[in-house]
Amino acid sequence: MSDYLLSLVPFLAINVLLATSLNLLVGYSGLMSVSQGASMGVGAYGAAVLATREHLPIYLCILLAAVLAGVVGLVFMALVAQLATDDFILASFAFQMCVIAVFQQWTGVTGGELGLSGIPGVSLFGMAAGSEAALAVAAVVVCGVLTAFIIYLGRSRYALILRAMRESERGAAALGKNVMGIKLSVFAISAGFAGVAGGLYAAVLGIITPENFDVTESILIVAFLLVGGIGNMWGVAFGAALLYLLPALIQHFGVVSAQYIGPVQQIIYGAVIAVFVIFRPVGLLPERPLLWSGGRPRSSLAARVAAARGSGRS
Amino acid sequence: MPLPEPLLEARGITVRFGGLVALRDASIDVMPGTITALIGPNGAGKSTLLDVLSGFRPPSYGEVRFRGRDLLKSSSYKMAGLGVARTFQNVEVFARLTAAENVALAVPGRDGESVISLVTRPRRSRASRGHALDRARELLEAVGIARFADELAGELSYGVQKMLVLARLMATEAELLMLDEPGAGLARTSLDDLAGHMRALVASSGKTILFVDHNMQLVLDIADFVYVLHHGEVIAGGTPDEIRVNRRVADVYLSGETAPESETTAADIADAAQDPPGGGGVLDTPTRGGLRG
Repeated sequence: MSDYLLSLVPFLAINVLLATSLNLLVGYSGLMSVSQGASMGVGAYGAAVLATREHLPIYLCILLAAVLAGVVGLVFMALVAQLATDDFILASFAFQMCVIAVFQQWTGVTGGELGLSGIPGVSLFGMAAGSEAALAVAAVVVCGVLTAFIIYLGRSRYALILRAMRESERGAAALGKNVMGIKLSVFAISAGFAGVAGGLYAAVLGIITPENFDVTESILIVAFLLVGGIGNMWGVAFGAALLYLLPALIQHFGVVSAQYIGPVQQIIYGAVIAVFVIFRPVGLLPERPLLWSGGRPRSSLAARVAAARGSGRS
Repeated sequence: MPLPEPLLEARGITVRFGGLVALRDASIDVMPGTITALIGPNGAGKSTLLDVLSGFRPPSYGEVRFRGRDLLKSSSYKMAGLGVARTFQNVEVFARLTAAENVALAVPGRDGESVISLVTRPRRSRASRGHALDRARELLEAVGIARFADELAGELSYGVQKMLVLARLMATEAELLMLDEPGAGLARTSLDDLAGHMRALVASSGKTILFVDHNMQLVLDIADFVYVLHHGEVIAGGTPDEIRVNRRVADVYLSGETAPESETTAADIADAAQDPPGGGGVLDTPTRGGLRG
């Protein structure tokens, strides 16, 4: 594998984690948020500050920063959990802007527009810290484990409650579900995982600035969901991979000259999102039920044959 | 034999919306093991009272006791756990979940419902999910809609959705079941099924039912006790036989129409199955007309 392709791997893993974590919130719970970039930023800045100032081990920095991102998300959600869907999107946008403003203005800690640099890299299994291979392995292992956990959550009774809450809050409350508590928990969890993604991002890049986490990043993560299949964990992971790799590979194979790749990337994103929203709003892999009562409908050939023979009425 | 304590007692319930009084000093008792109905013309405050009794709307004044415990101190989501569960007039199915998932959600079981339990008790969480699905399948079978188990609830017909929310209500294992217009929009045969299920819930499963309905025939048919609301006040309470011959109830049902000093009673209204005054969507089912067998 070329060095360039190897350098894409950590970001691929991070984007998959960002997409699956946001999917719990947006896909399952129906809480459309454009603040995942901000939560990622809290994780990144938190880890960067702890690592460069306090010189704590990088994994501990990422863990603490992720907890911070979760707590910040929890506080935000506690303030706005009562809002209706449309207002919630605006509130999440405001949250996103506020967090970026803090990154830009709190120069003593965040370095302002210049950001923070000299963030140590991550490595696992005794690989040389800072090498491309070490970064790739560490990011893939950490993101892989966490994504697997999110997929596990996404198949649970908890996930079923998230979806029920999305469909009818009153209905869920009547069945004894603490809608407010669940909203708080899912936002905190989603923000916490985004915080891990952010911390890894800082460790992989070594330098971060506020614009890494601005609203464009948040919308890109939403686009992963729209393309991959909102509500479907494998779908959104695939969507993240597709949308991240497409422009990177176009650049790598020189289809477009380097000076135009920025604008071209935006055009590709815009076009892909528009095409999916118009022609396939459910995404590549649509949401699927979590529980099947009688096995999958199109399960076995035998069932289909039986159905075809015994047709008449279903 | 001493009289049993009421399972649910509501005293002096008053609800104001701005200057409007939706309920005025309404008091009702629901005795254990019975079916109690709330009837009244549109706008009488029936659904508002059900909202108050199920903890979904705090009253301006009044108290609600369930087994002697003050219900109004608890949030609405705690009601199911305390033993009070309800349905809604507009069904509130989880549209993009399957019918089986809708019912499985109502099956009690804390394992797997929180992230902490999913981490600390993965095996029990998995078992709990399987149990919920099995129970859902049984209940869908019981209300006769098992063949729709894997279909999205939002794509089912209104009649099937009504049965779905009944199954969901049964799944809660609550002792007191409140139904908001369970019969509205149901065809005759489904209505008979519904009445059968409601009776069986009380007779075999030991439940207590409180329901609101416009369908006088259903009410007089299956209720043990009937309260009549009018302009936010409880104007009568009694057995169906008493309500059937209650002059005041008959007047209320015909007031606003052209029969002020009529001799008509609720029984006649049920027979004629007329719409109560202003009653949009009332009795708009195939049960309309000639119901006395």
